[in-house]
Amino acid sequence: MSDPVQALLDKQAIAELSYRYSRACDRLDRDLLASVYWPDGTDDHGVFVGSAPDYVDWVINLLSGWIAVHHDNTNILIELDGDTAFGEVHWTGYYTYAVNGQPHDQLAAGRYLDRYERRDGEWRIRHRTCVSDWSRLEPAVDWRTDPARGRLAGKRKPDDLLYGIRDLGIAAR
Amino acid sequence: MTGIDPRLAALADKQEIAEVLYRYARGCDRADEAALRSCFHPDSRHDHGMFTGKSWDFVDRAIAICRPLKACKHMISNVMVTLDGDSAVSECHFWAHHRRINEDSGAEEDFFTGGRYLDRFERRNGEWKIAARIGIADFERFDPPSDRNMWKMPAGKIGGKHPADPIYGLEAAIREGK
Repeated sequence: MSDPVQALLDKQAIAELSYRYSRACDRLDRDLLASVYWPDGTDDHGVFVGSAPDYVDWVINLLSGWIAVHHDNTNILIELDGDTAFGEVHWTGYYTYAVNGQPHDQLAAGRYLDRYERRDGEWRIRHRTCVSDWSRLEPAVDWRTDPARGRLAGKRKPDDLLYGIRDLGIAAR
Repeated sequence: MTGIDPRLAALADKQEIAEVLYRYARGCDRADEAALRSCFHPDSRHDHGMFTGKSWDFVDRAIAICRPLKACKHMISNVMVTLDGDSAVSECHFWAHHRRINEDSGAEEDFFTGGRYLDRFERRNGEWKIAARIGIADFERFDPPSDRNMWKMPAGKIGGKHPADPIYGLEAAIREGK
């Protein structure tokens, strides 16, 4: 009988890989994104197929041209097999970018199909395949340019308020 | 907590914090003031949307906004907690839908928003609650309603407010051992 507490810890650590992956894409954090893959990892995003380091360069370059990016991850199903694990992770993406010079919202959803490996006690992605299930693209209003809204609008690293989270509420006391 | 595997204690802390975040979402969706208030310590500070002040005052505003909505749904995901003893910081994602009345046209509209809650949690008297919150907006859009058959469904099959929503009857039945 394997240790059920260790299985919970493994699943938590693996789930947090996807959360860090999404944070890295949304905040344009190249180092964080690289840290969720093994250096010899691979990624298949359809329009990109190749090594994990090359994927990191490709997607950071792509997303840096977009106005805003937000990914939610749910329905995380992980199958543990020793130092290997397999996972299906749902994603919903909310993207705002210009099409013919006009801001558009793309809502899309799909799943990551992952192979994870544990090396020296650390779980990372060995391979990720990104499957798309649906998508919509519609004209948008970019409300972020409103000064009253901009202060609490999501931004990229290091401008997002996430990077002050350790001081959150401390000054107010 | 003596004698408990510290690995398990950390998982339990993360679970308790996640459930506060889920309770917040239920509090908004069901306009359940007690559930919403219970997520925050009395001195918690709040910075969300156009509101800056005490979290308990934000609760009053959130109830006033959510209770009249024809429909309201908040989903919480990507809960990332860093524990530090009786303190913790958390980032979680939210996605929300409000079926509301457009103030200018008087017509119904769907408001969709996605963002993040940045929270400082504190455990006091053994209970994790939020001690400071910032709400960040990453995404929003307004669209005309496009549903077809949803509102033809019978009562009890459409989400309701506190205490009419079916969850409150189910919870009461469990408490009474039925």
